[in-house]
Amino acid sequence: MSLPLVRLLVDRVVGALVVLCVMVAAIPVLVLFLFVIIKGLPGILTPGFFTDSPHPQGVPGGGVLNAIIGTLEIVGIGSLLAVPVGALIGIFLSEYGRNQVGDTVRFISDVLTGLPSIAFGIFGYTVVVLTTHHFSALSASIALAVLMLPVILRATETALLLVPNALREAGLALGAPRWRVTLEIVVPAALGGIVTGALLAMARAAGETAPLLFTAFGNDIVQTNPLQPMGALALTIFRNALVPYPNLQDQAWAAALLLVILVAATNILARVYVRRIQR
Amino acid sequence: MATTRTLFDQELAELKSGVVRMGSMVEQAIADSMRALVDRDNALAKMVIARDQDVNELHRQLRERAFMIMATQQPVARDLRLIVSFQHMVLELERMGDHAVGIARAALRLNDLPQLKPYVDLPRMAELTESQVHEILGAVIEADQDRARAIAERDDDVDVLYHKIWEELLRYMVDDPANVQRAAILLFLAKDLERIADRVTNIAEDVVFLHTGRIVELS
Amino acid sequence: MQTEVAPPPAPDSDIEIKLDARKVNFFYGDFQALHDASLSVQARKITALIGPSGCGKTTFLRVFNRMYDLVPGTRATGEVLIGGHNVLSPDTDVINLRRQVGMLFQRANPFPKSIFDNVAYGPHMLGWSTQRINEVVEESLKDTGLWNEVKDRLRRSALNLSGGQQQRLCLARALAVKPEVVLMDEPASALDPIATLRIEELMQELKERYTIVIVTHNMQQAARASDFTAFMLMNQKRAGEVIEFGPTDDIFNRPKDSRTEDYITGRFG
Repeated sequence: MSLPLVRLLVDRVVGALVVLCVMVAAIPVLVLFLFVIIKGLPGILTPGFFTDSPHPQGVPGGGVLNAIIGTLEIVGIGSLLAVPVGALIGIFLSEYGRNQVGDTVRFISDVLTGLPSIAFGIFGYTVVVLTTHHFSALSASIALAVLMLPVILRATETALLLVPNALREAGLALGAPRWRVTLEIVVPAALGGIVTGALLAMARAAGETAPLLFTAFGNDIVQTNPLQPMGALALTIFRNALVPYPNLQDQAWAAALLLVILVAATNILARVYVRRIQR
Repeated sequence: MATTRTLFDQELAELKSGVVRMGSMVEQAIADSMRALVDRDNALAKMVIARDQDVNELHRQLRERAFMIMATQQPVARDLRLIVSFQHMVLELERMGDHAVGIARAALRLNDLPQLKPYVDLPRMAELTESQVHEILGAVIEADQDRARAIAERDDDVDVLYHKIWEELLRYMVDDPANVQRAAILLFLAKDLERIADRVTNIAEDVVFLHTGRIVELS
Repeated sequence: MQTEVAPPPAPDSDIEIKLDARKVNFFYGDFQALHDASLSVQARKITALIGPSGCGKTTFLRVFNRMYDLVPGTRATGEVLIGGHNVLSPDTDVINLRRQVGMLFQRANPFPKSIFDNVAYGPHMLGWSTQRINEVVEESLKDTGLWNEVKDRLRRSALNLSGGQQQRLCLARALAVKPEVVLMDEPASALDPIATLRIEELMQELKERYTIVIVTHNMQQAARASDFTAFMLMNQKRAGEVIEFGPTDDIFNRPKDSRTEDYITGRFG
């Protein structure tokens, strides 16, 4: 066979192999999505899913209003704690952290990223629950905040490092002091990356279960006091998956679907935002 | 020192050899035109006139090449001074060629008439002038500005002879009206020689410019 | 082995030396990048620094506005006198120095902000009033020939401008803080020939009010656009030195040093 023909054949074969690999990787994800959608749709479409709190076991009906509010509030408070702190540490690392202090911080951050999420739950339990003698949403928020911190920190640092040095030089050559250059020029230029990092960290936190188990503990009624135990979607899924009541199991599937939609929506939002500010 | 412009250097060298070649052609024309007068040789005179075409053609070529080099190679400093000096020299040489033709034409007319007087000073003036031309070409080849300055100073010797010839020919014209025609032609011939010597001084100034970048009036 | 640099012109009431660098030595750690570099920059003239790559001309330029402070491990000895004060001394107000001595970089680096905000950044930082800022922005954009091209889209992103326009915007940004000296580091090297000529024209107009020092590897540009030229070379120890300095007409017609002539006639081995 002539050489060009061999090349063409090899090209086609490898191309086909690549497509096959993509399918192998994509299929489980798609199957998962489909499964969750199929199993979760009936629950989501049940009237009362979004408006009611859970009914006592054995009583038909009910919903996950408490869990929705709970997830939003716990993740919200956690973000309020993690995002500013993480962003500031990230700024420090990028602009002033090319030294041993910075390397130490980075190392600790990398270690934290690798910790199992239940460790954060134990942290929240030990630091807040044991001292206040209360399960509370706040302890969960703190646990989640520590979980989000390394993600936001690294995303911020990376975003800032991607800002070309030429911009810093331009600002400094104009007679701007370092802090102004950082805050007024570099950070705005990196904002896209920072916001994306924050959104993705929040989406991840929303889906975590282990940290919430003995911090927020869960609550079947809608309550917004952060110093009290609170429900969350992840907890609802965890607990309802194991009970023998069909309506509660449906609610678990539906809550899973809701979480999936939430995470997917956040990701899409992050991308749209980045595209918008790049214009 | 190592050079990164071999093509350019080649072009400059070719330009220079063209200038030198033109110089020899003109040198020859001057010698031949005077020979045509002294030996009363019309054929030689006609040959000088014909060969001036070659001189003019070479002049044209060299001017064009110099211009092309300037347009495409953006010469600066010594390269630019070189090209500009050569352009000017080539112009002076072309004019010298024209003067040689003037002498040849004068010879043609005089050879049809009985000789006015034995030619003594004119050949001597011609010898001096030819020597000046030869010397200045040497200075161009060697790029020797000191030699060029020395040659320019000897222009005075040519001028002295020129004035002597003038006075003698004027006397001839005053003595006898029949002499006027031949004397007048000889006057213009002497003028041509004097102009050639002048142009040697101009070329000397070009050699000085090549070195110093300054335009200096010599002599 | 260095030929004597042309001594500064005799004191003359007409000649004002805006920036006087005297025997500047510059080090990256142990490595010496500049050796006894001196330069007398005349006010309201354009001085060009030329020389082969690595000869230290950009390093020298960046000493003038202390940009090397940003790189750890660097130090400079010698003097750079501006307004009678040695800007290399530790008690210099570097922030103010950089306002007085502006810089234009090789590649245009506008901030990812609007055109207006780019030019207004310096004045805004200096705390000028809104009215003054508006005036200065318009003035600077007019000075760089951009006003007519951008006056209807001042609030749009600066990144939408062409390369030549962006570079002129960066120049306007530098001029907005009213510097006395403008340092240009190969400002046109990334631009097409027409944009390059526009920058050179701008320089001729600007030199009536500003002193300009330009580093360029384009010799024709140095010959065309500058009043004075300094030729630099790397010595055996790889430190940059000023070989010859003088009026551009002299440097490009009759340079005194054969190394200068070899470089400008392209005979550099």
